[in-house]
Amino acid sequence: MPTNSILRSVLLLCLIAFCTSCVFNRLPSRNGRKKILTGQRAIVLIRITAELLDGTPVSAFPSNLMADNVNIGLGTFDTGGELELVDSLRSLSVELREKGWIYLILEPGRYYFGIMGPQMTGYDLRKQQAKYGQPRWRIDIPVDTHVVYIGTLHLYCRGMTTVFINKITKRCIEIDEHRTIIQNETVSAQKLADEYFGDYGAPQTLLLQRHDSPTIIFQGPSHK
Amino acid sequence: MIFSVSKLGACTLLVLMLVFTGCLYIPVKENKVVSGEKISDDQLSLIQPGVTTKTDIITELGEPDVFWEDECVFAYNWEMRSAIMPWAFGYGYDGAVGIAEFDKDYVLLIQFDQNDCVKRFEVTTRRIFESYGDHLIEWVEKWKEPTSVEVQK
Repeated sequence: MPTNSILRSVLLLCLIAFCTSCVFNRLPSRNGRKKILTGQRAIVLIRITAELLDGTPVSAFPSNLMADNVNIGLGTFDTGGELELVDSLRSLSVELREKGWIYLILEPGRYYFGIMGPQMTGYDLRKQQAKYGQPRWRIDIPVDTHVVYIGTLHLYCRGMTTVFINKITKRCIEIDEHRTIIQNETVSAQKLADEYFGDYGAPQTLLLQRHDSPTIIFQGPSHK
Repeated sequence: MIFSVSKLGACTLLVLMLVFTGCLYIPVKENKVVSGEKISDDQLSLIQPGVTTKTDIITELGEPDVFWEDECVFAYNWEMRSAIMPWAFGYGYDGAVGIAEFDKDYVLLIQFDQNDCVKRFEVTTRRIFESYGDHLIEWVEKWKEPTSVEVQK
């Protein structure tokens, strides 16, 4: 491969890395901010922590380019509750993302929330989980809510060790969803919300509810 | 090698099929349930509007997949294999062959009245790219009587 091509590839990779970081770490846009302030959207704050079955803690959202430990699926009235991969996870800084703090901007309404494994493995399994995966979690975002903390999910997963040049990383490859627990870290969430979302008012804590029933229930298309 | 394709994948394959006319889209008899549980004609024949209750339905068909509370609608979902498309791809000395499968989404929709008796029911199929929510809304709207304002118009 000529030197020019290698250089171009490296530059392209750097650009992707830079852009990826930009996409992940950001505050709501001006338009998003207006919608949040008028109650048409809400900032939904959540923390996801993970540990391997041997007890080694791993970041759910590591900040390297190969980051693919945990994904989030949301089921809505539009999807009939079927989980769809969320590709717009946001975080406030690299450090906070590494610690598992992320947020979404959602319209008021009922959502079914599911943890999905890495995209690079088990595509068919994830597809099945999207339709019939149990357990999943439920959250109702009320109208006129600006910032909501929906809990801290702690995951247990089967791990794998990857080696890249001289860097050894442990990562999740399969999440044991039945062992997932929810914790309440309202104090930390409030501190974080005060720092980054202070002008939207005090955050409300509405913890995710486990939804083990086979039936997906909706009042109506309230998010429309 | 057999695999399922998503709706977007199905459309992409369809376009590719038109471009590469060597591919064949073959409709097949719908006798393979891909997901969910198919509601049989025998089960459907037991449902009688004005007679069958919500409890009867749950006893006969089980818990619904979706319950739309505001409109009192139960939905049961299943997918049937409806077509296959053999494909082949070659590049240099390498290549692959396989069969892409196309599924059809069925939904049994049952609406109840205020006494929890079946008001109406129908087995429907979802169109490609039609969201589940839109499908439910369209079905409910279809049966709604026009309001006096709409009648005047």
